[in-house]
Amino acid sequence: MKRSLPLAIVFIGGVVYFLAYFTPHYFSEYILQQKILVDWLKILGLFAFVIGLYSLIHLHVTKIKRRVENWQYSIMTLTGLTVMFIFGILVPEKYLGGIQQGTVYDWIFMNVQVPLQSTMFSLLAFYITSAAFRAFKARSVEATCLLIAATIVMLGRVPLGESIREGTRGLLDFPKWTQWILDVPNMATKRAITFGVALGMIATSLKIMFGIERSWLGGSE
Amino acid sequence: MELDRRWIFLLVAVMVAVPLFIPSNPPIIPDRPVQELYNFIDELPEGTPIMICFDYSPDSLAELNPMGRALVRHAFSKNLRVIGLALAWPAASGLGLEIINTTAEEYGKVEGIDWAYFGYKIGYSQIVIGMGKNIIQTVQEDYKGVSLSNMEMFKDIKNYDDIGIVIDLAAGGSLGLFVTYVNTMYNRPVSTGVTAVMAADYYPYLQSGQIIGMLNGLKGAADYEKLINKKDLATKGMASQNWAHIMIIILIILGNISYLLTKKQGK
Repeated sequence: MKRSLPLAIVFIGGVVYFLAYFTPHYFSEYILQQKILVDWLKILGLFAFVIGLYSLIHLHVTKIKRRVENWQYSIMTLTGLTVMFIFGILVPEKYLGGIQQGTVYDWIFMNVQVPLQSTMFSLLAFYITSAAFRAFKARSVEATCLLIAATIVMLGRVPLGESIREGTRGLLDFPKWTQWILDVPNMATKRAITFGVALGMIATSLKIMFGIERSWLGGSE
Repeated sequence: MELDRRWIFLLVAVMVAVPLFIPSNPPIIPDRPVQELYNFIDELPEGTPIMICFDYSPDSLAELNPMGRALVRHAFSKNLRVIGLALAWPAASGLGLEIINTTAEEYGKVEGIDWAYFGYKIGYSQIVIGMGKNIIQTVQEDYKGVSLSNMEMFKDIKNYDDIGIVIDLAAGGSLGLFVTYVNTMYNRPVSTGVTAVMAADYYPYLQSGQIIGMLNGLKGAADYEKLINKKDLATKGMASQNWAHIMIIILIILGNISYLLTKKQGK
């Protein structure tokens, strides 16, 4: 029952949704557009949130107790979580509590989390540039084609490409070549990849629906 | 040729940061996909609502925030109504609200009449499907908890049929959801603004007409700012992007020269 019930729910739900999407009958719309499905998803989401929160706290408390490597970062994590919880939920609105604009929660989000998260992602620029020097070598015909295409696109997507076009009176039209690369070979290749991915997703979904793929159930077989 | 990568990191930092402080007017010619989206929104009748879904986290803020701001500015300058929401990333809720709120103040637009913001809504695909039937029933409240049925803006908005276009500003794969349901199932116009690394993936949708135009990375945002005649962060950022790309190309050339010389010496 512990495994049969979830498998049955997945099978029935999957088949119903599959048929409803492809069946042009008002009853299909009736099934897909039910407000109760939105409410169920909200409830499931909240349960998932509670589990996720417990898991996060448990993980970091354990790291602090055992003094594992970098356990100090776990204190930072729990401190951030506690501070946001206090100001977002517990502190009354008249004391700048809540999650609206102008509250302490919003200030911390916009002035701490947003810059930190953006900065982490911007590190990619440094690593890509370093990789460009070390690894982007024309070792083969394919690598050379890749390098040429990459150079054209890099020039075509910045004002320098426009300036070169104007300076050479359209002879070296990097923006136009870039658009052609994106519109023709890239588009064709991406479409083929999308088809392949879609076929893979269909196969995996069918395996999950029919209970052949059961790794999502967790636990031992 | 060995070069300590810390020198490269320093060069990147200088090439990206310095142009931000030097006033410049880089030549920007809008791409065709950006022009398509601009033309579509520009031709919408006054008062038409447009829906913008903010589906990104602060990681992608540098590229997508300017897009969102330019789109909202364009909408408000044409007296279109704006509906904002976040479906994929809870963190986008604050980002989208900041964009719409500050831009609304710029244009003197009133919340509840000219714009509404739903905030982050749990339910993802079910929300997208449900809004095709009835937005008020599916979403119910805005980010403050105010009922949509009490808002003047929603007196004549029932579902996607009343929305001019749905635009997904995406840093993940959320566009597929809008193409599948909003465009294919409900037959409504969809467009998108995505990060530059993702843009190449969506050209098939552009070619087939499933999306109307596309904003591609920081360049796309800068193109849109040019079209609405309101230069802002994206245009400023293009100077940095310009020099960063030049530096990458120079480093690639140097790396390849070094490789070829090494290969020749080896022979």
